[in-house]
Amino acid sequence: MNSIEDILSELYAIDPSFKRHEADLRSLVKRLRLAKPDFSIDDAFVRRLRSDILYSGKPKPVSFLIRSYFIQTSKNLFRSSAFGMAIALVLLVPIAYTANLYQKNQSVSYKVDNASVSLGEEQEISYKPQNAFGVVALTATTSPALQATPTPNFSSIIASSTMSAIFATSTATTTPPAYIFNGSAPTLSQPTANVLETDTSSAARSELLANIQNLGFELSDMTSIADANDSVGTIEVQESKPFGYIVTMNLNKMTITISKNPASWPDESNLPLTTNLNATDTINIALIFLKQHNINTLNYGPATLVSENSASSTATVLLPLIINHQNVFNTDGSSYGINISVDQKLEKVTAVTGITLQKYTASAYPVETNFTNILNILDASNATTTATTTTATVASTTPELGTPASGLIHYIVNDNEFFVPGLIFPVASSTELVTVPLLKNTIEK
Amino acid sequence: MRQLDNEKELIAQCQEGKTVFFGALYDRYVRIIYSFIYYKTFNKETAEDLTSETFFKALSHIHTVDPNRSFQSWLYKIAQNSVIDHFRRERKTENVDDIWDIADSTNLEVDANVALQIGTLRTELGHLTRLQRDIVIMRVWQELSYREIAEIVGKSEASCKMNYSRAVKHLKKVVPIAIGITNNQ
Repeated sequence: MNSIEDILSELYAIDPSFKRHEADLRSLVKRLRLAKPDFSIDDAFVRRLRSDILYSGKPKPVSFLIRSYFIQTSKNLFRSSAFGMAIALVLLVPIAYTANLYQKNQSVSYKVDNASVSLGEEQEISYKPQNAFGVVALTATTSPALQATPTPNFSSIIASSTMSAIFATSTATTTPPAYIFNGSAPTLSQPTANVLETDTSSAARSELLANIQNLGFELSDMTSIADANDSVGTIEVQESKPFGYIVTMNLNKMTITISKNPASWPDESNLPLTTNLNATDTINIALIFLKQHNINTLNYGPATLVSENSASSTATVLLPLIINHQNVFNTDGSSYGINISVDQKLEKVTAVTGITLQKYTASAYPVETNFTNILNILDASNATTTATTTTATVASTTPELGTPASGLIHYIVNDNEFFVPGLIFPVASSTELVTVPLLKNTIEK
Repeated sequence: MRQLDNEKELIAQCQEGKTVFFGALYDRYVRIIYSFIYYKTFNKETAEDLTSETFFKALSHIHTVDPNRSFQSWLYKIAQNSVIDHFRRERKTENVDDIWDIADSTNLEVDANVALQIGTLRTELGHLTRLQRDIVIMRVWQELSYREIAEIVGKSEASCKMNYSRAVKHLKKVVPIAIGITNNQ
């Protein structure tokens, strides 16, 4: 805190006549300083708000208004009265509905009714000793929704991006493009960071199996589920009603996939091609489907329309996964999470992938703390890339990387799902992101 | 300068839809904005609510930020408006901008320790113009530089110093000299 002398000197510099009243001024300044209210900002609040703003996309300004109004109304008019509560609830309902439809940049947030039992409602992380997973040999992955799309075959396993110019070197290219780092170096002070692995224990499998009944599908044959044991890898059950679904549980990867049951859906070719569905409508269809099937979205960021295919009238909505307040990325920089395919002609969800139980085990691993080394890795991964792709999209300019953010990067290693701490670099003049895992043993290799 | 460039870059990333980069801006300003709001509300819950509102508004309007102007100043303006809106909702009058404008605060929830600590100075600071009061608070309590204050209030540094000087002169006249305060502390 500035000393009294500092403040006085400053005042004398502004107006030398103050010197004539030094005693009074000193007393006044002292009083001003003493009157400074003591308060401490609640660190939990700071963390929670950060998480809410960045990841949940909850429409706080709207809910804030509701709460303010509620508090004020109840204070002034209905203090301690049940009638006041009832009025406030009536006021809350329509405004909360509006809040659910709050949209920004083609995204909406939708709060699932927490009163119902729902899948993935609480993330659970159990901690193991350091290096508990052994050597995590990383290989690149892409978003489930993007896997069907032909993508360049990158040979780089250290750093990845959908920008082929950065990491893929075509057979015709002899000089690998270099990076220019134009951002600010982050502070990497922690020597270790947690790697997370999806929990595939018997208990987790049982819990995932139990959850199928909460998904709200009309599944007629549950026998196979009841009999499922540790040797069962995949379970598939079908709805036979019109517009029914097939629910597939992969008990090795601990995921649930929902897809339309083609036998019970109409032939789309007979349907009119035109659709008035905009991005918001499409996202709402996806979110309502998740809500109807008790799939909790609390641990996901705002839904976004990531792709639209006008020829097939299908669109993909993504809910980016957040684990322990950290965004999760595929190695190509795309967000990892639940992907919902929406048929815009039928105005129905046709598939959902990436639904998980959200139970993880964590183990601390040494991470690289020297940012220069990380930048060298980017260059090295580029320089050692071998020619494996024939992609034609080789950029003519040198990619510029900006200040990175931290996050988790999704990997599949020996059929096990890992989330590895990493840095996410923005690429200038591009929507692409570059991911670099921070595991020290991987980087050293 | 590096920080400013970095800030521009963070804003540019946010404006391209990469809102994950808003985190760095949040980390840089959350405490200072909270303090600013707290000094205008004297209530922890209200300060938390208005800080939340400020940052949610900032993120949702990040596309409107001019990267060549001060982000901090823009953020303060949002915070200031949030405080004004809050008190005008609460008091149902156009003439209240913050808690300093409310002479009779008996119906307001003010943190008890703050009420004791600030004592009669609250009334005395309340007699200043809002600009003067903001400058005094930002300079003496928040310890911001004149350059920062000038950016935030949208005046020149010279004007801020002049207002600070006038505020002190006014306070010198109205604040009673406390008995027992020694000059060498």
